[in-house]
Amino acid sequence: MTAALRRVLLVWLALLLLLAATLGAAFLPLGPAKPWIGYGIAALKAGLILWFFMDMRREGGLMRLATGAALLWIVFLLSLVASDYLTRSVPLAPAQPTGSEARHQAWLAPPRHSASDRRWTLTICFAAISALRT
Amino acid sequence: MPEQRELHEPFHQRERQEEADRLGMLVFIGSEAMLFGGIFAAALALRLLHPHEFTSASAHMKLWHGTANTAVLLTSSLLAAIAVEAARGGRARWAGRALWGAAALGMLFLAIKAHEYWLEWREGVVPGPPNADFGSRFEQLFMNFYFVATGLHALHLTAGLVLLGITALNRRARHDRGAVLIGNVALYWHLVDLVWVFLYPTIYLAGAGR
Amino acid sequence: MSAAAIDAEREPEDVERTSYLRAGYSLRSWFFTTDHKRIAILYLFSISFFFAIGGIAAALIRLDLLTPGPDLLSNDGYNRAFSLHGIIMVWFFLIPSIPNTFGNFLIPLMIGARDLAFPRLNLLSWYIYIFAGLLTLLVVLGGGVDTGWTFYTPLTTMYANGMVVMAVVAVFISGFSTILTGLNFIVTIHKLRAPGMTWSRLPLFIWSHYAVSLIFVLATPVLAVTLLLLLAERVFGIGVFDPSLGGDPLLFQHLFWFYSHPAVYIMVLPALGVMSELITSAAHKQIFGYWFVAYASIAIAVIGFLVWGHHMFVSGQSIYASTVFSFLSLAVAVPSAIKVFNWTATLYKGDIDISAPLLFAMGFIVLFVAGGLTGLMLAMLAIDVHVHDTYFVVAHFHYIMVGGTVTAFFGALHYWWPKITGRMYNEMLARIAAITILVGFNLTFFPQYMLGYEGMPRRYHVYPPEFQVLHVLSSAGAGLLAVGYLMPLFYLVWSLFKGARASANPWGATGLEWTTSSPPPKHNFTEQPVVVRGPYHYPLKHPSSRDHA
Repeated sequence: MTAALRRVLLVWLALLLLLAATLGAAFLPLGPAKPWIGYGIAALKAGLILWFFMDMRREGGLMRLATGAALLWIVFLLSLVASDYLTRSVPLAPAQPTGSEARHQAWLAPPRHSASDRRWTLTICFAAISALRT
Repeated sequence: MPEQRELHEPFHQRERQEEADRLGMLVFIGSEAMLFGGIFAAALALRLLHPHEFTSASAHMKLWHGTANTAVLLTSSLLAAIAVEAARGGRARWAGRALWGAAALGMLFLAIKAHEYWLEWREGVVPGPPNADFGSRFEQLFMNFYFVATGLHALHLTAGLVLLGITALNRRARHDRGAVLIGNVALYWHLVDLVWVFLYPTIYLAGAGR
Repeated sequence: MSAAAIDAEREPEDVERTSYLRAGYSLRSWFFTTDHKRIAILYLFSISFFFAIGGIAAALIRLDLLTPGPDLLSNDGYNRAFSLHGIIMVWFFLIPSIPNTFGNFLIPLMIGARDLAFPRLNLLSWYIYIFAGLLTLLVVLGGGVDTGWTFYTPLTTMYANGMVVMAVVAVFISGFSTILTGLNFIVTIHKLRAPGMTWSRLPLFIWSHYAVSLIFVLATPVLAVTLLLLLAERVFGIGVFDPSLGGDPLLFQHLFWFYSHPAVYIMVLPALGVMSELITSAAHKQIFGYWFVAYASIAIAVIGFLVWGHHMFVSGQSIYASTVFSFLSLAVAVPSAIKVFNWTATLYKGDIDISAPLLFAMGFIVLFVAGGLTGLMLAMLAIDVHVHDTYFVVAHFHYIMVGGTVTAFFGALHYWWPKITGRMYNEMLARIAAITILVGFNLTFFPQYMLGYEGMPRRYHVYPPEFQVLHVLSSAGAGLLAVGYLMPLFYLVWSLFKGARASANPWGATGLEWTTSSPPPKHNFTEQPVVVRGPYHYPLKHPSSRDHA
């Protein structure tokens, strides 16, 4: 048996073991971690297939970059789609008095900047301008 | 003198042409991965919208069929990798046998899948026929999604079977010490396996253990 | 390089005898060609044909909008007109326009190769495109669709009549043409560069087309699967976009725009690549900030994939996701702006030759900046709430796609016409056409910004009478624009028969394509070019040696 053959057989065994692990883990009471474990093991399997079966182990940078790019783009798609569905039910600003009178009063009220706010603002601007001039 | 593929326009050097062919195949399977990426995005959306219904619908899936099929495809990938190694080692006949073996396991996958579809049809969870009776509306959507996703995968698997067969029959490919054609077909076959590796937890494991 | 000089100075009879245009006259030699230059010409004819069809749809729209009432078309007819206009212009004109004509023709020439990496795949791409186009024509003849080019659910899946299935299938098929083209370009640029042609010596046109090819290959498959799901929903009612079964119509929009936003970068990136060539050539000067422009192309391609949610700000998308998309949409403008600054800096103190290509290029810069700035406005959540689905959006994207891409297309057509055909066109007529196009364009589309801001919705042909003045101005502009676009048809075709024969390098430009004869021989170069310098190694020679001084 050549080294190459032994290697792919070992990888295959590892894949089957991972399959058993993912199946077993699915029956454990892991709660919210379950999908992460399931997909995590799938990612490990994918990594083994890519590295050993698809020969990423021996390929040059270009091929690895191409593979990585495809994976990255799927991550783009899934993460930004998820960002919508995960945050749809997140509430917006905390409850405020909603009467129109309250809103009107708030609009009419004097500016909320204090004297110390003005000092801070002036100090920072002065510092920034001095920094730019040096 | 080991058999070689012929050089064709516009290449001047065979190595370049072979590199180009392999890069071309990799770019192509990258695009195929994005195709299935859309399917996974849809699955993610559905799962995030209706987490409980998703897991309970998944619990009705035939876990053992799915698991067996995963093992079958992983082994089929092994054989494709063995075919590449055999061709590189000059063992053309083993390369051919490994390719046929990979194809045979691919057909076994389809057979298990067909059996699974048939059982689902008998249980009335296939959309369309008059005996269709889903537990809930989301269950119907889940089953529809399952058929689209696995159907698209099966289509790609069938195309892969054709490629494996053509390559196994190609004497020049089997004797090519660079394993160019076998290597490229194997890349495609591994993609079919990769997609299933992720479809499996998505469809079958979400509801396992319930 | 001496071999290239030999190429450029060949006798006219020799040039003509070996020209790719004369390598076979039969139909078979054209329709079964694998020569990238002939395939480019096949595409040129095809996209021109579809441009005309889409233009007729536009004419119907603008005629109907002359009056506030539904005078020309019925409501349903108007819906079909704008849907057709969008579908044909996007998939059958804009997306293939520059990459499949000029990309196909020039990429091997610019990198010193004999052809693309997969010549037969290139021909297959054209046939797939033509097949899809024929299906679309059947859709047109069959009455079309009223869904808009965006095919939103649940209209398309549940309620639309018309040939939705066939239209969707046609677009689905056209996607394979683009995927194969992108694959071909990527492999070609990696594996077929001439000796000495390192990445730092690539013309920026190549960088742009490489970036576009990334988008072709990574975005189009998602369109394919989205359209498949759409068909499954319409035909089988699978429910993935149907809330009554637990699906989500917004999921369609996520998947659709994941492709369609990068698609607009497909439409603009090649134009940006053309611009780098036109500007450096007209200014006879090295590009300012080569690596900034090169990496900006890649940045546009990458960031362009992360902004699609800005089409869905008011569709029910989570406001947190919308905020992320808004920020990223602002970010994507930065590399485009970098390019504009660099072109301006390139022109500064350049040795500028006024010519029709330069007029198109200058027009491009103004219109692209206007369109880009309004894009920034649209990326702001609060503004978008006001102007979403109004003519403001219509004006914005026409400024980019027509003011940008089509203008660059015409600039490229004039600039490389001598190379492609071996003939020079009439410069005076070309300049008149350029100015007509630019004036006509602004008259057509600037009023639309105002209309949209005032509240005129898009996809409506019935509107309050106070909008009529602006609509009439816009339609008048459209008429002038049409005249401008028709003019080149006449003088360019005329030049094929009576135009002066072009030398190898009429513009005095750098670039490997100018070192071979006009038109090039079948295999592009008589000897393998070897590259020893960067791409914009101006000044070449004394200005008086330029044909076009």
